[in-house]
Amino acid sequence: MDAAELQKKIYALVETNMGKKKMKAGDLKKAMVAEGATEEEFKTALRELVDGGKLVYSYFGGSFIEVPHKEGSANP
Amino acid sequence: MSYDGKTPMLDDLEKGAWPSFVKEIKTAAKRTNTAKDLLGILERSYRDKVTHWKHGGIVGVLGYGGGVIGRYCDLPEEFPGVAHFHTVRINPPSAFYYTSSALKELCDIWDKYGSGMTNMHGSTGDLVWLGTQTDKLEPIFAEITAKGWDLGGSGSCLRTPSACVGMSRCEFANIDTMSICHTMTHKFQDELHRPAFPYKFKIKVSGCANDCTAAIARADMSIIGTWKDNIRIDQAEVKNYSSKMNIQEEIVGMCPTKCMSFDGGSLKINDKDCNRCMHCINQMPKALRPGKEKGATIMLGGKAPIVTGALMSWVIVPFMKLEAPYDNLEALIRKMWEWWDDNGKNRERIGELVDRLGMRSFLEATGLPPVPQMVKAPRTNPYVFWAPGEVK
Ligand code: HEM
Ligand code: HEM
Ligand code: SF4
Ligand code: SF4
Repeated sequence: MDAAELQKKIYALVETNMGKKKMKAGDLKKAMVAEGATEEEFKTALRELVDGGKLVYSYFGGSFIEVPHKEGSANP
Repeated sequence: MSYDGKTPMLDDLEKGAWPSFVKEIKTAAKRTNTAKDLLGILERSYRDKVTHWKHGGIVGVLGYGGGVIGRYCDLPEEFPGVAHFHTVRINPPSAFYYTSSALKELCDIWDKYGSGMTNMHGSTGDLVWLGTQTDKLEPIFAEITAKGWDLGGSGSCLRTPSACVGMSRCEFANIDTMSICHTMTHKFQDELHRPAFPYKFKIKVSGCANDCTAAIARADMSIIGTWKDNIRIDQAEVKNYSSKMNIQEEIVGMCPTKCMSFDGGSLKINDKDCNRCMHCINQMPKALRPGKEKGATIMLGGKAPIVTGALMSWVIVPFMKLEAPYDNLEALIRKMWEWWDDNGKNRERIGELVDRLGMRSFLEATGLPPVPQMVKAPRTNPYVFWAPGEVK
């Protein structure tokens, strides 16, 4: 799958689920592989999104992928 | 109400002969407000009987999903020094070897950006830095990586692997624990820093069944050195020991598999029944030594109680030769991860997944042959059941 398109799809999936379902890297991988991406393509795309600061990892019991935001617990 | 600097309940914990964490935090409090307010908020928590810490789930450095554990306090006006109190995990060298200059280098960075308090080493096996602020994380990361250090693991990833001192300092080591730990850490950088598993995964490497890293209880994959051939016996040394100890009672009588005998002159071992527990070798190191055909037993599933109860690792490969670059071990680990990735629920450890789906599913996925050593308890027999597809 085209790299830019794959990144867009991953980002959109995370964004539409924000506040509803926390997405794990594994959930995203399964969804993208179902759409025709390879696991390697997915890994690279996610890595570029995170390295570019467009998505971030978060940890609440397990690790998730989220759009960067200021969390409720954060102090100034 | 502002904090008056008095800590009567903490002061109580300085009494007695044992070194006190309160004394150490007080020493650090002379230099940093983080340590000073840590005393204050801890005293306050003891008084209120509730924690004043909050979880920061999104705190970290760019590109990594682990290595930083975010914490905030819920009384930032009263205790501004601990408004942020993030923990940084630094990946230590194999078996925790440092030169004094390496330690100074790390401490200088930490004194510059953090509370000055460390935990060496945390139960995870990381070198732990306690207490810094969000805006210090990128500068810390830039400085440690410029000097060749890196963050450790946290979250649903491969956690910082750890090893006993092994061949560097211990004659019992059957495998090069430090090299295995170092090599796995390098092979699995992506899995360590970019959490993609259902939950955490720990690898610990012990050179023998004494298991100084407590791998059997603390690691999803416990790699424990052992030998395949016979225990080497020096009968002259056995004779020397017999004048100092009661070999019949203390060695033969305590052998868990009852595979030894002693006629007063020479010691015999039925090695086919020996389970390589190390008891006799520990007691008579001059007389007994592990055999020459060395390798490791690979065990799976150890964990503390979180979602379900505690598990001890059990055998999945009774004997594996482990020689650099350990491609056989890497291949097995990758197969296990693939099966766990495909089937694991969120927060399900690999041992719990085996409990849920059964050893048969695990063995089919990894291609490991079922063997009697896998039977960890009655009714856990992995090899008497049929796969659904095989039943007509
Ligand atoms: C050739 C004859 C037999 C064979 C090959 C055989 C085989 C087995 C096997 C493979 C197990 C499972 C062991 C484990 O998973 O730990 C087992 C368990 C058991 N067998 Fe047999 N068995 C035989 C005869 C018998 C007889 C005659 C009895 C009773 C009169 C018996 C009673 C049991 C019981 C009670 C268990 C369960 C033990 C436990 O789980 O703690 N077996 N047997
Ligand atoms: C309708 C009849 C039976 C039912 C529904 C039944 C059911 C079961 C079940 C559910 C188990 C546990 C399997 C597991 O460990 O996951 C079991 C184990 C066992 N059953 Fe039966 N059983 C029946 C008849 C028998 C008979 C007639 C014998 C012996 C004469 C027998 C001998 C055993 C033995 C020895 C085990 C232990 C096997 C092991 O530990 O691996 N069962 N049975
Ligand atoms: S686990 Fe065995 S080899 Fe490693 S340090 Fe302990 S006794 Fe030595
Ligand atoms: S290693 Fe353990 S099981 Fe083996 S002979 Fe010695 S005491 Fe017995």
